[in-house]
Amino acid sequence: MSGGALDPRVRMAKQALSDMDRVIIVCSVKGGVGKSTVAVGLASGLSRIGRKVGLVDLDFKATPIKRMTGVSGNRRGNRMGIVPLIADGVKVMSAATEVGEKALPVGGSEAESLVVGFLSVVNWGRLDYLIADMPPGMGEELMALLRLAGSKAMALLVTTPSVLSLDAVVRLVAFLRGEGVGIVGLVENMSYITCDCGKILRPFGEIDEGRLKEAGLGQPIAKLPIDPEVEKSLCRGLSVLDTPALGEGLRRLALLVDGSGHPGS
Amino acid sequence: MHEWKLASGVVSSLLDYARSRGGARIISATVKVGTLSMIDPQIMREALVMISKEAGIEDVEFKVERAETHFTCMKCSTDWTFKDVEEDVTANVPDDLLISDESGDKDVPMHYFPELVHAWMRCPKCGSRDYRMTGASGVILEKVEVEE
Repeated sequence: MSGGALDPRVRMAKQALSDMDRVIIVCSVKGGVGKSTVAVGLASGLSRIGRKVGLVDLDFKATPIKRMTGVSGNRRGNRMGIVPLIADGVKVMSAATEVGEKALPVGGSEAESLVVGFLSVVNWGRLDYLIADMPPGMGEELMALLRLAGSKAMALLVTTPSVLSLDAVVRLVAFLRGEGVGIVGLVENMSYITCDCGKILRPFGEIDEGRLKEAGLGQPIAKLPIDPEVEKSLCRGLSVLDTPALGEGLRRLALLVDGSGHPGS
Repeated sequence: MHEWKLASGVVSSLLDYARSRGGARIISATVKVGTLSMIDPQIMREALVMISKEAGIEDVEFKVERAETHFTCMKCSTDWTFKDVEEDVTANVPDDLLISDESGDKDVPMHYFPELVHAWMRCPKCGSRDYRMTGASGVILEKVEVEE
């Protein structure tokens, strides 16, 4: 056999992804900019307008999706693989549902293999959208997903207005374009906070629009606020979509993404 | 029980391979099953035979072999196999994380996702979780023999 031994799950993962209309990779190079918040909000928002949605948590070290979706229940497997748990109508797969509170120090080729496993052994079925929540950076998880998803992969970039975050996003855009990956758009998270008196404050300043233009990104497709209610909602197991300020922005983002067909640059 | 799904992936991969060789007839296929996945080679073989028949390649000889999963500690260089520690590692997985199959049997998550072993296994010598896996962990299509 040419090319050495073959992992059959790779073909299975590609087949599974081919049954999905769109694969949206929520990514950034910086950590803590709100990728998971955007991924969960987008997945729930799309589900609530009637789309069939899956959400895969490929951030194996932080595994935020279990808490953010509140997904729970007995896990079952059958001849078709693992049956994903459901939260807010979304099929969810996260390492946190498999390992509980344990740390999962997996990296390198084993992290790539786990990406293949999450996409092949989980019985996703046909989906309108698979939303992938990525770890920060351009590591093995992102590379593996891009290889498997091929032309289905579209990136939704997340940044704060901070110049440090924007620097990193510009690098990521250059990388993604080099790999032929389409860009859904840029989400500016933590853009502003509305004071009780109604005044809008921008603790991270204004995003550098000139820099966005240079990178060929155009305007952010969404500007999401800092919403102090998010932390409270997480602790109560509520969806970020139901928080007052952020929820509205995320619902608009879902409508925009759904109505955009296959935008990209 | 996802042996059937994996077997389907193996057969699809075989069909791809045969197509890439101009429709060559497949004589035999060697499948390695890593011990870490705790997949039953007998079930895997039965699934391969049945699914390949359904796919119209019923005369393939399937050799399903168990392969040891090896680990090397990056901190103290100790080598070990999953078999050495299997009992202790699987006992570490709490009941509420076991996955039920159709027959009511329960499996540890590594059965489905071998890499999750990093959550429960430590180096048996120094206790570190900084180790690398070598050799087969799941199911690998290792060798295909086709008629030339």
